[in-house]
Amino acid sequence: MSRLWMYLSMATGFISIAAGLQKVGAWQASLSLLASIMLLFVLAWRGFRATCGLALVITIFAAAAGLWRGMPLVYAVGGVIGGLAAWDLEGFLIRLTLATQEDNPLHIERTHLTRLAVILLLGGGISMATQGININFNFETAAVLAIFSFAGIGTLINWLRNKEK
Amino acid sequence: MVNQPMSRILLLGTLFFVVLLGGLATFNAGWLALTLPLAIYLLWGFLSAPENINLSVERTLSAERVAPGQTVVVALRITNHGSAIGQLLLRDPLPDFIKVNDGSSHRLVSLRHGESLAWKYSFTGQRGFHTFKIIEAAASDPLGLLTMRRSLDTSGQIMVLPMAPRVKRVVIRTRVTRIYSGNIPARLDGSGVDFLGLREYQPGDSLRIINWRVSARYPQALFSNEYEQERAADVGIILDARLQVNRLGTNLTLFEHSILAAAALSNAFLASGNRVGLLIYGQYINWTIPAYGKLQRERISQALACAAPGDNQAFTSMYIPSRLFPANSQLVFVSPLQTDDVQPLLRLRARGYALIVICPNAVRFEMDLMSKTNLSQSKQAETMRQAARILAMRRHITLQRLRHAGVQIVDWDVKQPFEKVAESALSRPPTFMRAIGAVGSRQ
Repeated sequence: MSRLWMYLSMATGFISIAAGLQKVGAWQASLSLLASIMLLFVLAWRGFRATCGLALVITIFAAAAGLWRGMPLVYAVGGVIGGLAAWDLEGFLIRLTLATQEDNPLHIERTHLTRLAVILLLGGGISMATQGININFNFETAAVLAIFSFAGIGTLINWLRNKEK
Repeated sequence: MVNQPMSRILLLGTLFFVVLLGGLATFNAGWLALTLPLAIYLLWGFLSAPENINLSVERTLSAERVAPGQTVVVALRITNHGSAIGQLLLRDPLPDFIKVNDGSSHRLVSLRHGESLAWKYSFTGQRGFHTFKIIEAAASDPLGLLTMRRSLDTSGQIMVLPMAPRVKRVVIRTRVTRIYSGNIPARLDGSGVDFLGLREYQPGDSLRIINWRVSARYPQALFSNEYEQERAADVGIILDARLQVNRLGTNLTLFEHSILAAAALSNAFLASGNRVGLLIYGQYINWTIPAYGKLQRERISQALACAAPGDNQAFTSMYIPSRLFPANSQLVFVSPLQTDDVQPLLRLRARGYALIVICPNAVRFEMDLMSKTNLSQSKQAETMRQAARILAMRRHITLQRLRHAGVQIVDWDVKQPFEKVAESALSRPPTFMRAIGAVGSRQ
């Protein structure tokens, strides 16, 4: 079941962004995205483990590019949520291979899908809700936020390195 | 454990920050909105990540010493003394010789604080020895973003002893015997069953040993039979565990057959009361000091259970200390043999050792396997058959050279049961011994 959802999510994410790109007249990019779904499906079917990671990167950058060209946010968020869901399910399926009958894999799968749906709906919902919020950053605020972001990246990397040790 | 292609949190975190920084740099609210699903996902992962792994493990094995194919049940009890773990991957690392039959050696569970997991699985194994030292645990949040790994200490061991078919009778003749009684004729008069000679009757001789037929020919005297004492001997078994001799192809080895032969013969020699030692000549030289009895049988079985083929230098450098295997005692060499091994074996023979070579037939073994595969129908089949014929001839010449030097050869086609081959080849003294009269005849 999770595998089917993974393929569906990937397809939904790509189709959503392709539709958004068509709206803004980026036909070539839209068609390229649709063509790349087939390639990614083949890669996933052949067992290439980083397929959904690649799909997530593509959806996020395609969504960002689409937004830059004026694509409606709903298509971009739909695409990112699809990519994120597919990427999560790919990792989950790898972990699920270690579950035995005693572990009740069906229950694990159902629980995970429910949890994932809640997280993504919450993320998507908040994302769409932000359309109604209009905050104008001045340069100083943006600079402070950027510094915080850099500090965040640094902290994350340090934390990960310490964890590895 | 599961190998993720890339650290999940690193990928998602990088994407999140790149889009966030891009949004901030370009004042694009849409990009910032795009980061929110990623941020919620990351936040959920951080909040539900396990704080630490504090698990205890108890392991019980139904048996620690089993025969090949015998089922062993492993019962594990894992208790979580730390915080709740949303997703816990547990794996009991097992060696190749163990095959799980029922249950699984890995689990994917969630454990609350104080909760215990009762985990049971059973396995069978081929020959080998394994110590259960750890259980690998990987605790992560339910989304698999943050994973903590730990090896949980545990104890237990399993020894799967080698198969040892029963060889009823192995006849050996050594020049030197030990003082203890056994069943090897010692060329000394005394109590025994084999006739040695005649001597004049002496007061005290039992009436049962008087030879009445001979005495009837000489009215003035009585003659008594002399019997040959039967004593125990020193037997050294040398198992050739060199990789280059035993490995015939990928996952194809005659070593298990050699192990079986060594186990069967050591049991037979020990059952006859002999002092038996074992030398495993592989990557390292592994000695089992010669001794008698059931305890020694156990020691040899354990050594054979742990034996593994390994790379080693040529057999020529092997040294056999006479303290362990005295000169003129019996040596049994179990090996598929290489042409280069002839000289060292002849040197051993020259030192006075009585030598038996158990030689599993590697050429026939490979040919049989080839005939079972599609290779036999291919164009190369005829070439391979010719190669096999040449190899068989070389092998025959090698064995013939050893036979001429007085080495007793058991050419074993491994398709045949070893006990049958051994009994037909070793239940009587070799022909050359009978020819030179080295074997006492029964009266």
